[in-house]
Amino acid sequence: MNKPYILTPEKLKEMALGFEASPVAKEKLDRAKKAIARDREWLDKLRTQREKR
Amino acid sequence: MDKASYPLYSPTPNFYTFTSIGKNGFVQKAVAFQEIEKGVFNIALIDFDTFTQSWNDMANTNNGDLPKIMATVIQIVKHFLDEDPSRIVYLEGNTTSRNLLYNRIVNNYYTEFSQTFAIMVDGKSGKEEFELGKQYSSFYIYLKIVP
Repeated sequence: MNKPYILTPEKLKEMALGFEASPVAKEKLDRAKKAIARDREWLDKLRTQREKR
Repeated sequence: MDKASYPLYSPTPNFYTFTSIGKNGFVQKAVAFQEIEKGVFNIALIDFDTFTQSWNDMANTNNGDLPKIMATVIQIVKHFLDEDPSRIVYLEGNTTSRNLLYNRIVNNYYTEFSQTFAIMVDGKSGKEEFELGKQYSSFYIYLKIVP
């Protein structure tokens, strides 16, 4: 078994800030953004329902 | 939701880390939420590659601790949505095989998920409620609101 990788809060923060999506994930995110933009009516309706309650 | 889970640490807003311990040893994992539309956040499940010293969103760890990882991810999603209940989490695999895995996970853990979360999906005729046993391309997860 490998040893645990010891990470300080500072290192974890640095790592978190350094996260970048892979090209495949970026492509998926672009697709998702477009799909959500196309379906904005549904999203707005959902938001309104939730705000009312 | 009382299943064993890993301790969490959130070094920055929208980013949670934990260490998976399993048959392949210790794996530093994280869940990152990326805002793709106002109030809608993509969820990314990622591993830290100690060799390249970078996060990998295509990794397939197979560390033999999926139930514990899922319990941890559920806690993270709950924490993230509790911070702002108007948020919606968007889940879609980066690849077809990853999406099949997510479908299997959502199906297997639906009883637990549905105690806290509502799930809408992209169905054949637009947005619809999640149904057990069906395959979907993407999921929209948000907190159930108790009247």
